[in-house]
Amino acid sequence: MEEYIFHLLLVFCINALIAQSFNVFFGLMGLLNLAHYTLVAIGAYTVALLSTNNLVLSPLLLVTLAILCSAFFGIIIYFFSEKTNSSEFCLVTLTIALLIQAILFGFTDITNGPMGISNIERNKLIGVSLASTQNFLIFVALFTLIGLTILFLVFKSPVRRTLISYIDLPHVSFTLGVNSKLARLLSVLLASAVAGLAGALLCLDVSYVDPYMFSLAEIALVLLIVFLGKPGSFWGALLSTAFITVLPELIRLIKIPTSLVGQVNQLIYCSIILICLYFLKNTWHKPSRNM
Amino acid sequence: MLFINQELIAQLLLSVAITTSLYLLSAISLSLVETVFKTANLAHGQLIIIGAYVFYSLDAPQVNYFTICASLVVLACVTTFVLKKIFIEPFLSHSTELVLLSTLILSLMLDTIILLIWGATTLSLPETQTHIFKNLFTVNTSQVISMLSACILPACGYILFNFTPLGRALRAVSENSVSASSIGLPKSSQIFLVLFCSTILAFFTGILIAYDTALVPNLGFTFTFKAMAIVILAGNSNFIRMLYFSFLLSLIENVVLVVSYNSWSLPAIYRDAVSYCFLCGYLMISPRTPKIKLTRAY
Repeated sequence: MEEYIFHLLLVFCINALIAQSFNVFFGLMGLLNLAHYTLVAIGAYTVALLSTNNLVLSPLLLVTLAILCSAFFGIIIYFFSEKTNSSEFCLVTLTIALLIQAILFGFTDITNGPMGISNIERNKLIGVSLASTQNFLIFVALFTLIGLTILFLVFKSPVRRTLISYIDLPHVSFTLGVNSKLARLLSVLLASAVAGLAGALLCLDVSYVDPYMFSLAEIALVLLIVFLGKPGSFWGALLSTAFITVLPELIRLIKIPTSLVGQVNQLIYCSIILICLYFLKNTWHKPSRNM
Repeated sequence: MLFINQELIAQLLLSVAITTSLYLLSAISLSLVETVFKTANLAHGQLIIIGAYVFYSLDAPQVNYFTICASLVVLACVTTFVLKKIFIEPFLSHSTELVLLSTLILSLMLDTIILLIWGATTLSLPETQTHIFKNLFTVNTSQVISMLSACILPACGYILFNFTPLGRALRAVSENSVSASSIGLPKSSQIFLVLFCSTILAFFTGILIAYDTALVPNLGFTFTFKAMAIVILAGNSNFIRMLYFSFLLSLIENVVLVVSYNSWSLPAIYRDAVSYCFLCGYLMISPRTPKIKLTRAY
């Protein structure tokens, strides 16, 4: 039972990081970044590739390198966000996602293609073994706390107002001399870094990565979390992450024939989300906007 | 040295024409909803695939075509009713983003339903069609129907939208639904009609896809993304631009598979990525599509 709760907490932490970083793109910047799971994949593959090449690296170093790689990739996304409008940005990020997906499948010498990379070991951190779930949960919780605090500061800082002013009234913002470029770059870099962090933690958690884990359909889950929590709302996204993480576990309690369990659970899961959406629809247009 | 297999050129051109017609039909049916509701139906690809699977199930046991058509029309009516009453109408008056989310949920549900009914195995129709033009290239009747319908259906749509009272009513609801309802245009029936047209067109595209490709359950998202890409690039539901980008997308997808360089050819898994890269490159250097107003996510 204890192990199960630890596992749930781990899933919550990783989902929270992915959802909040997507919330920065979508909720604050108005960008539907379809390459968000690509940022997670870059973090995960960085850790996987560095762990399996006979290099005994500290998990701290692995996570840092994953964050840096994803942040660097975030610069490319920032470049495209500046050059395109919101619809074109969807298309560009879709291209990036497909390209990276094809590379993960195609470069079999490096990524092992669809078979993925397995047996990723968690090395010791300052003499403490991360092999036990409890220790690893503390490690993940610590990084989640750091990642979420950084994003919380973005949500509560003047950067948020700058981003909102750029999206709502770009000409006024420009006339008033607001430097939105810097705010946008900073937000993209931080969100990408946090997505990379989530990827690194996910990889260390399951000790395995393959390209299917980061397919385009995965974006649906993160979109659901952000939409349910109301885009741009930090606490809303956190609450909906908890809800989406716990919901499949609650559905499992229903007795369903084994052969149909996966599909029926998914249908119940979608129906519950739809019912929630139906009852939440009236509160949809009441975000507090302190300009 | 760059090399293109000469013998395949005629067949390649035919493949390009067929794929163009499929992409064009899916983009048109998607843009129909997008133009009227100002939001995308993210379950559009799944509707196409449902059409394909239902057709497969009825065609495999040799049910006659009239029964198949009647069944698909009835299914389209039921689907449209459910889509309207549960997934679109309750949310449309609140926010277009809510419709995006509800249709996203629908897409996940439809994917699961496909898996439940037809399983995860790849299905394909036996090739029993009559082959024509055997000397130059091989083309069967379903492929000819596919290409012809890509010419005829958009033309019918154009006439419907521009030269009929119904088309004018639809445009009025699309441009200003409040004014439209104040002059007595029934919004609810207009919504139903648009959704029905889009669904029936999606099912029809699905039938053509069933003839052309092997069916796998997760094909829906691919078609949604491709149709979305074409609609975004075309901008403002411009038919000529949609045709142009459908052609461009299918041309690149097909050409990359037959071009080789010093006996090296691009693996098939890069097909989609290369075509999207090209389109994005085009987007960066070409005169821009009309700028869509920047809006926040909520």
